[in-house]
Order: sequence, then structure tokens, then C-alpha cells
Amino acid sequence: MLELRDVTVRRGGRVILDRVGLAVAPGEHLVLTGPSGGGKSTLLKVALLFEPADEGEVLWDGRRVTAADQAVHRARFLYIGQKPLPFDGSAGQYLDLPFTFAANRARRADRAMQDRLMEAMGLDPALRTSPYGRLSGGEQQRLTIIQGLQLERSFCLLDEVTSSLDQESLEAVVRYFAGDTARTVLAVTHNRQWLEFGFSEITLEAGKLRRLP
Amino acid sequence: MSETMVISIPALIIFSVMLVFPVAIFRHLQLRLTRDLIVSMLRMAVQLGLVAVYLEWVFRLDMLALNVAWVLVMIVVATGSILRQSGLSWRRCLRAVLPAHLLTSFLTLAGFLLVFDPATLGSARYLVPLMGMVLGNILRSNVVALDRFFSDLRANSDMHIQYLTLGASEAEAVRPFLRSALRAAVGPQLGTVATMGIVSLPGMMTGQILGGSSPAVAIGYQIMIMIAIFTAATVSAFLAVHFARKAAFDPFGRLDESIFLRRS
Repeated sequence: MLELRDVTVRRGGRVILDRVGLAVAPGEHLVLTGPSGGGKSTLLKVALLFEPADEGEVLWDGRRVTAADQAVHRARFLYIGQKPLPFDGSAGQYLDLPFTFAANRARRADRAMQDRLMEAMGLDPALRTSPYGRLSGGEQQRLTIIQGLQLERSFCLLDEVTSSLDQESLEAVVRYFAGDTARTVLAVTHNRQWLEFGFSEITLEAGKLRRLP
Repeated sequence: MSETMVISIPALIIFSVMLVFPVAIFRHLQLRLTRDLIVSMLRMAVQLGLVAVYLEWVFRLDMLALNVAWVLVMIVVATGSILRQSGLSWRRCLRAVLPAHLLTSFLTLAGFLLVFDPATLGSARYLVPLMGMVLGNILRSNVVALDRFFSDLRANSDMHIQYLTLGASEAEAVRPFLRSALRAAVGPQLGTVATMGIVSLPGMMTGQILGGSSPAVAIGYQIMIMIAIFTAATVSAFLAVHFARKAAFDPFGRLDESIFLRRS
């Protein structure tokens, strides 16, 4: 279970997060909304230890997470940013990328699983041989989601992952996460459609976090 | 062969009128490089003037210890200049990056020993100009490599974060940035090597021919120096980025902004 306790982040004299407290229970599906520049992305990065909190702490299962635990801690999360990433190589190679890292050597890319995920996200598995760089932003974004999903991390931190998607693929992606009850999801978004798929809303405004009923 | 014609100081001053053209272009594009240009040109003239005086002296004494000391000075100045030009803090990065250039210089000197006997290589007439050319090229490739590496890393911090959360080690997470930095640094040099002699008449060869050597002798030196330069440029760029990276991240694996001269 992830918990932020009284987290305050200040940057350049501005308070980005103001004594934010948040506990996400396993299996919970949340969307984090609020105005741009309201600190939503920062909150995800604090949870991953990529932004230091000026005050407060990040806890996992009630224990404080420190720099020494960062590799173990980050391995709990699937984090996906808002922009598709640049990559040289085919779409298939992009999907296999995580398995080239020493930390994931024990696992192996599973073609059948990749194909299944591609279909679930509205992608043709034949895309695998296409150069990644030639695909559209929306296709790249969905491949990035699939790339992360293969690692079977239990907690998804999604930062506006649907902003570059058309209506049809947006629904495919949201439906996928909504149906994935084994995973905990915290998704930053401006799109209210996530709520129709059973996500609960929390909102961050001027650094203050509120859970909406 | 006849004596090389001497260029007088008044002739050089008159020749510098040529710089009106780059200045005009800078102004037209509002590039604000005019001051840099004037400072750089003056620095070059003063440095070369001093070096001429110094080298006359080094060449007359021709002591191995003195020659090596001069090469060490060149290496430190090159590293400092590389850091400044790529926007990195001298104070924070010198200790990390200097070993890259010491190692590369050592490797290059070991290579030169395959061609020259130690006494010849150690003499001022060979050691100083050869290492000068090698370091000049290290400088160029390293500025490009470090600048590209860190500017890409800052612009794509999301990608770096994503790689780290996917399980990449610090070295694995910067691999794409290292790759594009090295390509930018040495790719164009490969192009230069490939067109050498046809498009460009290389500096060393030109110098030797003007100095009275036969083209056949000059070509031998030119081929050797091109191999040395390319090897040194690649090895040093790789090592410099590698070492700089080790100094560039805090314990959380985040880019430490204090290594930059200008904060983002």
C-alpha cells in the first residue's frame, strides 16, 4: 500500500504540494484531476522518489521509503509519462526493451502476451515489425503502456497517458485498466471519461488534495 | 625547396578585416556572438604568441620532463575549456572528467610508440605538436558529446524516469543518451576522414608542405594523425560522458542541477 504523509514540495518559492496526505489501498482505481500546473505530475514523481519532498514522507506498507530502497520501491510501479518516448528500432524491439536490462534478465518477453495486449489496446500485432519512429504518437503511446504492462507491476502511476489518443483507443486503454482489478491504478488525467469506467476521483488544486465522494 | 614566406604582424592585422563578415552575419541574425568572437580571436592571438615564445624556449632546452609537463598543462586546459563550453561547472566536474583525458592521452602516446622510438616521441618537436592536434580534436568531440548528452537528458527526463522504473540500472537508463551523444560527436568526423584529400587538405599536411617537407613525407604523418585523432576523439568522448554521468546524479538517480553553469 502506498501512502504519502503530509508531503510538502516547494519549488522556486512556490508551494507545489501543501501537506498532501494520500493512502491508496491495493486494487483501488483512482483518477487524479485538477488544473494544469497544480502539482499532479509532481505527486507521482514524489511517490517514485524522483522529486524529493521538502517535508513529509513516502511510505510503503507503513514503512518509510528511503534512497536505499529506491530500486525495490520503483520496481513496484508501472510509470508511464504523457509523451511517447523516442526509440531507434522496431516496435517489437521497443516492447522487448525492458528485458534487455540486467534487473529483468530472469524474465523473458512473451510474444503471445504482447499480441494479446496489443489487441486489447486496439493495435494490430503485425505492427511489431514496423519502425517505432514511423508510428503515430497514439500508437507509440499504447506500445509504451504495453511495454510496461509486461513486467506485471502491481501499481500503475499514469501521467495523462490518454492525452495523445483518439476516442476509440482512449476507450480501449481506459477499459483495459478499469478491468484490471489485480492492479492498483492512480491516473492523472484531464479527461472525465475515466469516471464512467468506475474510477474514483481525487483532485489537486493549489497544492491541496481532496477526495471527492 | 624555398624558405617559407614570413607573414608580418601588420599583414595579420590587415587580414583580420575578414572578420567583418562573420560579425555582420551575427548582427543580422541577432546572435550575440560578436563579443565571444572578439574575445576568442584575441585569446587565440595572445595564446599563440605566448606559445611561440614558450616553444622557442622548450625547443632550445628540449628536456623530456619539461615537454611532458607542457602536455599535462594542455590536458588540464583542454578539460577546463570542454567543461565551460558544454555548460558544466568546472568546480563540480573537473575531477570527474579529467581522468578521461589523461587516460586517452596515455593511450594515444602508447599508440605513437608503435611508430616512433621513445627518444623521438619525447622530443619537443614531435611530442608538443602531435599532442596538440590530438587534444584539439578531443576538445571538439567532447564539447559536442557532453553538451548533447546533458541537454537530451534534461529535455527527456521523463524517458530517463521511465527507463529507471522499468528496471534499468543508472548505466542502462542513460545508454540511449550516450549513444546519440557519441554519434553527434564523432559521426561528422568520420565524414571528414572519408573526404580527406579531396574536399579538405588537412592542416598538418598543409603545414608540413608549407614548411618544406615533401608531400610523400607529409602524407605519412597525416594518415597517422588522422587515426590517432579519431581514436582519441571517440575514446575520450565515451569516457568523458561516462565519468561525467557518475558525478551527475544524486543518490535518488535524479540529475543534479548543480553540475550546470546555468540552471534550467
